[in-house]
Formats: sequence, C-alpha cells, structure tokens
Amino acid sequence: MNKTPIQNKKPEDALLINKKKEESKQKVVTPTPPSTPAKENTGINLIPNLSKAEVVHEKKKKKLNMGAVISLMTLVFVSILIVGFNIVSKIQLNSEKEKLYNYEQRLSSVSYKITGNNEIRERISLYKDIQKDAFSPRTVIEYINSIAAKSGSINVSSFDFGGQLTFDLDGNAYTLEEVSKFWYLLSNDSKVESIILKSVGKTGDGVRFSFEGKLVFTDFTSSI
Amino acid sequence: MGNLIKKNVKEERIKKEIEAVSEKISKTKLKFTDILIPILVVSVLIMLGIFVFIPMIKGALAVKAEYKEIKGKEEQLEQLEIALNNLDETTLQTDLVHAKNVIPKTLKVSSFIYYIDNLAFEKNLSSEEISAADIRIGGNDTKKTKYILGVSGPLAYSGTLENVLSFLESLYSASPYIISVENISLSESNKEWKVELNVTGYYVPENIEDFNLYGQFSPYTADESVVKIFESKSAVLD
Repeated sequence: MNKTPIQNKKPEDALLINKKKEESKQKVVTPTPPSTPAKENTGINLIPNLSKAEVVHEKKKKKLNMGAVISLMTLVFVSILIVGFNIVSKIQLNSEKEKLYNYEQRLSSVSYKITGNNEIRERISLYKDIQKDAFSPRTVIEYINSIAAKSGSINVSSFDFGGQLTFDLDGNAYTLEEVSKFWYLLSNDSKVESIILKSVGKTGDGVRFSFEGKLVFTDFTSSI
Repeated sequence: MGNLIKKNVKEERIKKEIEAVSEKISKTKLKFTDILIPILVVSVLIMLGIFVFIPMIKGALAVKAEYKEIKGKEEQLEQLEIALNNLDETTLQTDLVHAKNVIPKTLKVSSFIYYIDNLAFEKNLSSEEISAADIRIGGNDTKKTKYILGVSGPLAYSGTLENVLSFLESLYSASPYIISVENISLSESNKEWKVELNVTGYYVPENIEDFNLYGQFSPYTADESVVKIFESKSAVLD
C-alpha cells in the first residue's frame, strides 16, 4: 500500500493512515462476502501513530538539515564576498599607484621649479626674521630727545640699545627736578614699556643720571 | 482449530506491530550523525574565519587605508601641479637670481663691509673700528640641521649726531645685502658722537637637497613685496 520508508513520512501521513485505518475498520463492520476483492485489498496497518515526541524529533532533524545547508551557503557567500572585496581593493590600489607614479614622474620633470621656489622662500623667511627685529635708531633717539627737551635742559649723552628695544640712557641735567620730570614723562609715555632710574647723582657741574628701560617695539619698527 | 489459527494470526500481528513501532522509534531518534554536518560546517566556518577571513579582511582594510593615503597624495600632487603651473618659469629664474644676489651663497667680508664703509664716508663719518668674521646662525654642528651663515663684526664711526643718525637711517637701505644691526651704542664726547654697532650680513650655503614632492609647498609669489625688495637691492649690485 505505502512503500515509502517510515522515517520519511510526515505527521499528516500518519493522520491519513489513521483515517484509512478507521475507514478500514468501518469496512470491516460492514458485512460483505469473504470472497469479494474489496476485502482482499484491505491490509493490516502496522504503522502506529506518531507520538508528540516523535513529531518534535522529526522537526529538529529537519531544522538541523536546513541549518547545515544555510551554513554551507553562508560559508560560500562570505568566502566570495571577502575574496571579491580583497581582489577589488587590490585592483583599485594598483590602479591608483600607477596613477600616482605617473603624477610623480610628471612633477619630477619640473623639480627645478620646486627647488627654485624653496630657495627663494628660504631667503624670504630669513629676510622676515631679520626684519622683525629691525627698528629705526633715528626715530628712537629723536623720540627720547623730544621727551628730554620737554623736561627742561636735559642732555642725553649716551644711548645703548639691546634686543627688542631695551635701552640704557646716560645724561645730565642742571637740577634734580629736571631729572624727576624726565623720569615722570618717560614713565607715563605710551611708547615706553618700562623705565627704571638706575642712578642719579649731584655733582658740581649739575646732576648725572642713568635710566634703564624698554620701548614698545612695534611703535618703532622699520623696514630693512 | 479455527480458534487456534485466529489466535496465532493475532499474536503474529501484535508481534509485527511491536517490531514496527520499535523500529520506527529507533529511526526517528536524533543521532549524533544527524548533527555532525552542521557541527563540522560551523567548525570549518570558525576556522576559516580565524585563519583566512580575518587576515583577509585585515589585509583588505590595510589596502583600503593605503588606497586612501594614495588618494590623498594624489590630491596633494594635483595641487602642487596647479601651483607649479602658476609659476612662470622665466620670472622664477629672474627672482631666484635676485634673491641669490642679496643673500648669496658666499659673502666676502670685503664686499660686505665696502657698502657700509662707503656710506659712512658719504655721511662724513670717520672710521674708528672695522672688523668682521664669519659666524654660523642656527643649526647644529653634529646634526645636519638647517643653518645660515653670516659675516658679522663690530663697527665704530664718529661724527656729528645728525650725520650719525643719517648713517643709521640709511644703513639698511644702503647695503644691497640683507643685513641686521645689533647692539647700537651712541655716546657723546667733546661735541662729537661715536656710534658703535654690530652688523651682520647673511649668506645661505648651497643646499644640495633632494626635493620633496610631498613637502609643504607655498609659492614664493605670496610675498611679492619682499621679492620686490630683493629686486631693487639686486639692481644695486648689477
């Protein structure tokens, strides 16, 4: 009647078999002559119903088989994807490397422009370095002398300029008041950053003084 | 007799049913062989992942990173090419000559001092002291760092205050070379002013340096005003 192996049967088949069994039972109940062919076709059902545990087992097996197939497919897919990605990346890289090489070759032929430009730049930067420390001595001396003139008969006899317009002044005056006025004017001048009276002394000829200070450099810068 | 046959048939039937059920139960049982393939596949996948895929992905990512780097370099070279194309070859050569004139490869003490002494003479100043020597600015003797050289020396002149100030004023512009002045000192003695100063003239030794395509490139034309100063100073030397 049913020649497929029992393990390949579905649970529905089992129900179908049961149904057939019931039908066959009914057929047995119906009185029919023993020699009829219908009775000969009715076989004995040896296959019992699938228990619930058996149905679960069957499902598990199917799932595992599907899992294996999916795993294999994933493996193949991932392999193709990774290998493909690798190959494409390497092809792209090689193409770009070739492009870059061509660029380098092209630019190497005008390397004299680069070296020439760098040599000029080097000199420009040196010039700028020197220029940032340059100031106009004339402007500075004239400015200090103008403050001295406002203070009375101040005579500045010596100027010493250091880096960033630090300075030392020596001079003489008739009175101490003139020196103090000169000191005051220097202290309150916007172009004088700091001022210290180093020494002051009265002699027979007048008053000798010495100042040390710093001017605001940006106010006296000059171009070379 | 008939009953006995019936009984035998029934017993045989029950026996067969029991055999079929036990066979079925044994066949539907989950065996180790059923899960062997998935376990193997998963194991292979894990092994492949660890020993093949991860290194391959790492390699691919490294390749991608290199690709990005090359792209960046390409962009840099593209910009460099544009900048170089904007530099006129003839102008560059002329400007280079001017720049090398005012800050030469070597600077002779005589030629450096000549212009300053000449200026002092023009301003009616008398020479008190004049000397110069080579100096090295920046860099390090042991390391091959960038450095510049200079000729530096103390100078002293005397004359009236007006002439001294005029001399100081013209000092920078009179010399066709790029110079710097330091430690200016003025002192009055018997109505005559003496100026002492330290003057340095610069020169840049020849750099036999490989050009770097990927180095910072800024065209010198951005400092047009300085180039003009070089040009005007160079004209004095020609």
